[in-house]
This record gives sequence, C-alpha cells and structure tokens, in this order.
Amino acid sequence: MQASDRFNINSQLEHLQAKYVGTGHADLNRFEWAVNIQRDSYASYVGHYPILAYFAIAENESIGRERYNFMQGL
Amino acid sequence: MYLYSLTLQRATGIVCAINGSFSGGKSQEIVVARGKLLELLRPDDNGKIQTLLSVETFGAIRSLAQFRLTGSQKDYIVVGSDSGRIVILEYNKEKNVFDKIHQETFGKSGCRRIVPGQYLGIDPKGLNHVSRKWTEAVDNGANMLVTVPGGGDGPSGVLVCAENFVIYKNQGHPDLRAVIPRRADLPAERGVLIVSAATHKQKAMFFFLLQTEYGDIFKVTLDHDNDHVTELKIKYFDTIPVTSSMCVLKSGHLFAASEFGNHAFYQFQGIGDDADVESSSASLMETEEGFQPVFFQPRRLKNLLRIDQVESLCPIMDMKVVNLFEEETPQIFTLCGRGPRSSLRILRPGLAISEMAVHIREDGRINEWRAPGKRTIAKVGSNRLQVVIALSGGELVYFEVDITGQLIEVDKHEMNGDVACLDIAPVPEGRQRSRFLAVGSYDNTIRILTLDPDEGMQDLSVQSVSSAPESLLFLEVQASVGGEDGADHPASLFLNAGLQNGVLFRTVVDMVTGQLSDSRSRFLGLRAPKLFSIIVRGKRAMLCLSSRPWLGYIHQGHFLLTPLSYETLEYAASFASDQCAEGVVAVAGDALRVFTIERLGETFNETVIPLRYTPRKFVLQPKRKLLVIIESDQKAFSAEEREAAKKECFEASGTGENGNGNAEKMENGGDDEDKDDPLSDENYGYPNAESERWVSCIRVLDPKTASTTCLLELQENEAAFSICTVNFHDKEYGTLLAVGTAKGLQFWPKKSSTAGFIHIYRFLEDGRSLELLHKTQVEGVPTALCQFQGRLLAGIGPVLRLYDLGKRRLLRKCENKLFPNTIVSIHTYRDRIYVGDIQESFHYCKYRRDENQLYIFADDSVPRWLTASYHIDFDTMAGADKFGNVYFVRLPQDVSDEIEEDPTGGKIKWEQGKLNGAPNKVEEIVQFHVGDVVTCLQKASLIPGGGECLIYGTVMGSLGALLAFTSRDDVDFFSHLEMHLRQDNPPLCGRDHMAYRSAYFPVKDVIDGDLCEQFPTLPLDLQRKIADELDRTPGEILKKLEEVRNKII
Repeated sequence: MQASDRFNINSQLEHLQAKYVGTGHADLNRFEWAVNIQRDSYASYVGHYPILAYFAIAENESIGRERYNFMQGL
Repeated sequence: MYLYSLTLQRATGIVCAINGSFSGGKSQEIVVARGKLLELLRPDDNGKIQTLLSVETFGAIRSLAQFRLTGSQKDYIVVGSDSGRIVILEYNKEKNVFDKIHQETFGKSGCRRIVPGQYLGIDPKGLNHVSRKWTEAVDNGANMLVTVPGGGDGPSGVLVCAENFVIYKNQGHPDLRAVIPRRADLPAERGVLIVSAATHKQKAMFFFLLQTEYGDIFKVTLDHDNDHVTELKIKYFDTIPVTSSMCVLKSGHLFAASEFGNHAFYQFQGIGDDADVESSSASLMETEEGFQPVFFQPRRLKNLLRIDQVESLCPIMDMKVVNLFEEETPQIFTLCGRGPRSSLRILRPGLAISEMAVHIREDGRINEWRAPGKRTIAKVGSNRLQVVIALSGGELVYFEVDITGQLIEVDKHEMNGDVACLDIAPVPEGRQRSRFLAVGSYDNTIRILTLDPDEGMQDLSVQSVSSAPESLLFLEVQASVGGEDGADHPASLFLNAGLQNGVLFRTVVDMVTGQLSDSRSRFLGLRAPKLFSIIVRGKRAMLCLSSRPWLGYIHQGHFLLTPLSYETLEYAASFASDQCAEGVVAVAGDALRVFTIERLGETFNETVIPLRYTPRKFVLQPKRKLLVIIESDQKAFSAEEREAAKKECFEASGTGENGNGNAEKMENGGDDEDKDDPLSDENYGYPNAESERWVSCIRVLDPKTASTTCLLELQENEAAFSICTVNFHDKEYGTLLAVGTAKGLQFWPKKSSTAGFIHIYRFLEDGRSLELLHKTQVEGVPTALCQFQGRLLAGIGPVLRLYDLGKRRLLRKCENKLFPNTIVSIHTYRDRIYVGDIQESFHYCKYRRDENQLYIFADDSVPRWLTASYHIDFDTMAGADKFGNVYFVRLPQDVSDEIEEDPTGGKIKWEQGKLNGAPNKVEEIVQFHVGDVVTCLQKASLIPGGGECLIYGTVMGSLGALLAFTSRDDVDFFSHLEMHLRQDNPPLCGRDHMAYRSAYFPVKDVIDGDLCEQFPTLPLDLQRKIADELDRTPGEILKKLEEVRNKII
C-alpha cells in the first residue's frame, strides 16, 4: 500500500459501505454484526436450492415455504 | 492422494423449468435447471418426455426465463445464476448445443443479498431503459408475483400472491383481493402459500394455475372489461404433488416438476370451466378477526390425466452399495423421496429393457449346410451384396451377388490356419461392394483383407490381440447432419472383436487404407463376447453377449458401451414387427425372448419399492439379506388417525368408498396411485398436524421379493433417528438391533424433546421380524449409534456414551461430555472412535479399556457442518458438509505413531488443548465443492475387479464417484487437460470453473472429471489444439477419458 492510500482508506470504506450492504465499520455493535451475518446466511440459503431442499426435508415443509420463511427473516 | 471426480447419475431433481419453442417453429420444448445442470426436454408424439441435451454449467442455476423477439419464431433462454452475470442462450438445433449469445456482468459471484440473479422479469418488447412509474406497499406476507398479460391480451398488472391471499394490482386500479381456499383439515395456525404458478394464454382468454404448498392447484381468472378488472375468481382445479415449477404447453399438456420425487407430465382433460368457484373478490367477507376463510375438499383428478413420469431420486437420504443379490456387479440401495412418496430404489448399472414376449423353443430343430467337397464350412460372413465363407483348414471363398441375384464366386484365398471368425463391413452407400473383410485367427491376430477385385484379397493390416478372437463385427457410423440428436458426425468405421478372455476389443478402421488405429479394450464378462448388429433408434448398434449383455451405441455424439439389465443371452438378432419397431430377439437358455431397449443414455436402471414415511437411515443384515429401515415424519397424524379421518371424510361426502383397499396399502406404504383409492396419499400428501406430532416406523424389508416382513409403527409422537446392529459381549441374543428415538421433538422456537430412548430389538423368525427387548430412556436425542468392542456407543447431544446390555435396560459404562454440539456420526476401527459433530467436523477418540476412559486426542480446526461421513483408513476420514463440499482429513503420520506408541495414554490425556479443542489437529488432504448437499458416502467398487472409489449421493438425486489416481502420469495428464478446458471451454452460465469448485474452501487435489468429459463436445479444431499442447492426439485423450470412466463404472 502506498503512502497516499492511507488517507484514502476512509473514503474507500465509505464507498464500499454504499455499494455493499453489510460492510462493517468501526462502531458496529455486536447485534448489528450478527444481524448482517444472519441475513447473509439466509440470502445464501435462498440462492442454493439444494440447501433449501435439505431444510425442507428436516422441517417437513415445502421448499416454497422454506424460501418464504427465509425471505421473511431477511 | 489425488482424486478424479465423476458424476455417475446426473441430478434428477428440478430447480425451475420453463417452456417454449427453443428449436424454433411449432415444436414445444421444456428447459429445466437441475441444480448445476441445464437440460432441454421434449415430449415426443406418444407423450413421453425425452432428453435432447444435458449440459453441466458448473454454477448454481437459480432462475430461468424465456423470451421471444417480435416477429421471431424462436424462444431464447435467460439464465440467472450465482455467477454475478446474466446469460442469454440459444438452442442450436444443428449442433445440439446451447450457444451463449450474450453475457452481462453485474456483480460479484456467489448467492449474495445485493447481487441479482434470484428473480428474472422479462419484457422483450422494446424495453431499453427502466424508470419508476409507481410503487405501492404490498401485503407483508407477499411471496410471489405473476404477470397479467397486457396490451391487446388482457388488462395488464400483476397478481401478488401472499400467505392466504391473491391480490390483483395495477397502476391506478383498485386492489382486488380473494382468499385462497383452505383444506378443511388444515390446522388453524397454518397459512396457505402459493409455491408455483403457470400462465396459459390463448388468443381470446388467459388463466393462471397457482399451486399451494399442499399441492392443490387453483385456477385464477380475471373478469375484465378492457382494462378494468371487475372480479378475481379462484376455483379449485386439481391436486398433484407439490411442484417447484409448472409449465403449461400449447399442446394441451402440463409439465409438473416435483420438488421431491418423480416429475409428471399431464394431459388436460378439461380446464375447469364450470361456473362454481370457491372464492372470489366479490364474495370476500371481512369480519372482526380478519377475512373469513373459505374451505374446500380435495377430490380426485378431474382436469388432469397423467401420461408420463420422469423418474427422480431426489432426495437421496441414505445409500449403501452392496452385492446383495450376488449378481456380477453390486447394487446401489438408495432411500429416496419424502413423506408418502418415499421409496427404496435399487439401482443397477445398465440400461432398462422391456420384455415383449417370451417363447420356449421347440426342441429338435436341425440346421443343415451343404459343404462343398470333403471340407466343411467353418465360418460365414456376409452383407447385403457379398458373402465370404471360411472352410475348415483356413481357405476363404469370396462370393458376390450379381444383378440377377446369383451368387458368383469371385476369389479364393488360403490362410495360414483355421479361421476363428470373420466379418465383412457393410456396403457403403452408393457403392457396389465393401472393401474390407476382417478375419480373426487362432494365432491371436485379426487381419483386414481387401475385397477389391483388382487387389485380390491381400492383407491390408494386421492387429495382434491378447487372446483368440471369438466374434468380429464392423460397426459403421454413418455421417449424419442434424440427425435425431441434431449434431453432425463424420462417417467412421469401427471393428469390434470379442476375445476369448472376455475382452471386447475396438479399433478404428481407416475407410481408405484399411489401417487400424486407436484401439481400446474393455473387459465385459467371463465369457467370450459374441457380437451382433442391431438397430436402436434408427441407428446401427452393437449387442455384445458375454456373461451379461452389453449394448454399444452412439448417444448425443458419444459412443457408449453400457450393460443391459437382463439375464445371460446366447444369441441375438434384430427383430421388427408392427408391435415393436426396433426389437431384439434373443435366445436365453431354452427360451426365445423378444425385448426392446428403453431410455438410452442412462447409467442406472432402478427398481422402486414404496415406503410409508420419509426414510432416514437403514442398516443391512448381510447374512440374511434383509434391510432394516427407519422412517419418520413430522407434522403428520398416526396411521390409525389418518385411517379414521379418511373414513369419516368418505362417509360425509357419501361416496361410499370402501376403506379396505387402504388397509392393504398401509402394509407397504402404498403402490403407485391406486385406482380404488380416490385420494391416495402419494398424490394428496398426508394431512397436516401440529408441529410436535411425529409418526415413525421401523421396517424390515426383503429386497429380493420387495416385501415388508415386519413393520413396527412407533406410538405417541416417538420418531426414530438412528439405527445400528450390535453384537453384545454375552452372546445370549446374537445380533440385536438398536434404534435411537426422540419423543415430541420440536425444532422451533428452540430444539426440545420430551424424552429420548434407545430401543433394543431382537430378531425373530430368521431376522424377518422384530421383538422389543427393552427401552432405555436417555436425556437427549440419540442421533448416532455404533457397535464398539461388544458394547454400544451412543451419541446423545454432546455426550458420547458407552452402554452395555442389561436385563431391563442398557447400562452406562463410560462417557465423554466434551463434544461441542451434537454427535451425528460414529465410526470405529480397533480402539479408535471417529466421532462426527453436526457443526464441528470430526473428533478422533480413543477408548482405554483398563482405565475405562474415552478421550478426544485429535480434532479438526475447520468448522464443518457434517451431513455425511465415512471411515477410509486408520488415520483418514471422508466427510461432506451442508454447503456441498466433500473433504478428506488425515491425522499426520508422526502424530498417529506417537499416539499408538504411548502405552499408558497419560501423555495425551494431560496434554494441553489447542484452539479450544484437542491437542492434535487433523489435516485436510482433499477438498472439493460438489455443489449439492451430499447426504451419504461409501467406499465401494461398482465393477468386478475395478478399483474402489468413494460413492456419494446428494439431495438433488445425483450419484457421483471419487476415484484415487494410481499413477503420477495420470495426475499430470488430467490436471493439464483440466487446465486447458478451464481456459478454452468456460462454463455456460458464466461462472469461473475453478472458483465454483472452490466456492467455500479452495479445491485440493481433485480433478473434475465432468469438465474433462466435456472434451469430446468441443469443436474439432479446439480439440486438436488442446491435444497438441498435451503432446497427444484427440483420439488418445478420448481413450484416456474412456479408460478412467471404465475404472469406475
């Protein structure tokens, strides 16, 4: 990293925060962090059909219902 | 250790499906996404679904959409995946491939919250830029949008599907709301959710079919007056198993892609035109408690008629590879499906055939040949216009048929010794004669002789083989342009030889010079293969009859050699009649059989035995050849309650159906839709109960007769989760069965259960029946059981405990409570115990008998959510995690030695833990992202004499194998081939191959065989380019690929 970048890092972070939901910051508290992780997990479950199917078997629900539950938690 | 990964059975479940005319014109096709596969299906004239093309995309396909450009006759496919890109594909009919037309990158790869790919909306009619016209908050429970046709076709707008409601919305239009009718037996706390939708649009009308999570389909229509919608009507249509996607085809068919179990293809018998509707926006009643629900009673199918089924293994819950039937190859026993559609499927490698007729041959038939002179005719070979006979002593006489049909002797030739076999190549199109004669001799050679009259039967080439040839066959592959599978193939000629040592030898014959090149051989069975030419799907194919029959044929441009699932045959020939256009007539023992070959291109054929509830696990009694299966389902009523409810329902509706058909059906869990059962559970599902209700059973099944010899239904919300057979020290009872159960288990809001038990059963009647010995209450759910040194090891939550058998109950001997979460698997080997934790991968334990202590001496540093595990060797375990990875861990050799050399065990016992765990850590030696949740692993060999490989089964219903390479050269070759293919053949949906296989952890020491096997589908010049860089010919690469596949299956 070059010397000039050091002054730049805050603006880079801001840019990232604006662009990507869930990018952390220095004052992030435990709850916010956990919520972000949870939402990321839910989004990943919804996107990966085999995992949805796996949960659906475990809970004996339809895959559509599982997807709905995860979307509600998102 | 380097592994070669190969998918044996492609995924059979369907994520989403679309329909349209992808090859252009009037044809109707369906494109389905099966996880990482993209397939093109087409219903044939008989309503049977045929697979035209199947492509591995190496990325998770999440959504599909089709669109048509104005004025075009052809639909295009839009794919949304985890690649962070949107891809537009066109089906190329000539080459039978999907062509990537456009690829647009918009974000990072992976399934993330802010990167699109999950939902697709299409408007091809000139949508260039998007501007926000209106927004409106929708119902909090909204989960799906369905487009209402606009323009000249309808009022436009959307249907918002929410929990319990369907709402019509449009800009500047008041909302119309109707409740979704509920089944009368649904518990009040449960809502009704729409899970899939299909739109049917004709010139004058349109309607929607919406399916609920319970399988009921409703027809939704809109009464409208130009753009003003006056009423939203919901009418009960029919009930079919819950789908992930439905497609209404213009030909009047419905393709239903089931979320679990077989997919179905229906024909519309009606479109539900009767005036009575269950629910409408006009009759919506609002009370103080909210909107008043509307009820309905499901009835038998009225509008749909099932005409075809597509088999699906989805989901595979457990699997065992074992040769229970003592056949030549082992069978794969899989537990598949869910709830009332569960089944045990026995898979055998090979093609399924359907037998048309069997005829017992009359004896005493004599065939007489008049031999010229004192010599006898030993062998004959002929084609349409030429005949060659071989006389004893080795003289060949060559005849041709002239224009008048007379046989004319043309030439004679003396061979060195007796002729073992001969064959003439078929006459090429537009020629007078074939130029090639193949002669096999007892001196282990095969010679190609020319039949050209100018050259006079001289040798063109000689090939020596490992054993004397028994049978020869020329197989000509005709040049085809846009054939059945659509692709172009250059003409080629293969010479096949069945050798006396059971090997099939195949080589390419140069069509000009007659030189032989590119030879391959494969062991087929214990008898010398006899070769016969038959016709399959209008093309020449080869039937090889060894100790089992094999079929060699061309499928989607590949030559495949696949066993047939049939008994040993002696002779065979093509057979055609009105009833069967492409049959085979064969002699088996003293019976004459006529059969046809079905569904080409499949690796396995399956025998299905239905089960009652979702199967969880099973164990084998190899001596008695019986299976013991545990099945359990949450939120269901017990068998008696269901029976009573059904009776009540029939009495109420006055249909007067007799319930005795069910009693028998309960025995086996139901056959396919019974005609005398109007509401079969397979179609309508079990009625829903409260979430703490469970049903479960333990079943002893004889797979040979497909009969259940014993079925114990557990009572009072008890459900079985683990099973094992155990031989206790005192051999009073012999082999016993241990089953771990939980009572009133609930996952939500917190995992809880009222009690856990370990049942001990005794086998009676030669293992065919079970008797409960005793039942021991434990403090949690026993999720893993295993025999260990004449005792029983149980994993109960975070506790590993050793039990001994008592008179009244199990007796605690020893325990270790230091496991992180929940123990889900236990494997043992000598005094080591390999424990799998649900969240924290493997823990290696040791049992010290003299101190009676269990302690953990090594664990994994990576948190792995284990879904399957298998013990490989003393230091190595194979596991699979929830996110679709397969991995191997190994204890380093020095650590292993140290532990084994420590006689007192004191050193390990007092050693400091590392990373909040055990003092030693296992190393990850293999890692691979399969892209599908692996639920079962087993090391097995699928072919006689073949190498052992790790077989896995997945939730999406696919089977795969990981084979260890034996030579460094092969590893080098395949890793280079993989590298070139990654560069020159990027995956179809835009995902980077390496990134996909490393989705969660970097891929380690596994070569992706599925990618390597795409080599033959590349354009010829690209094949040559890659081959040049590997210093080989394309033929050699193909041979290598074939060789490694033949080692596995």
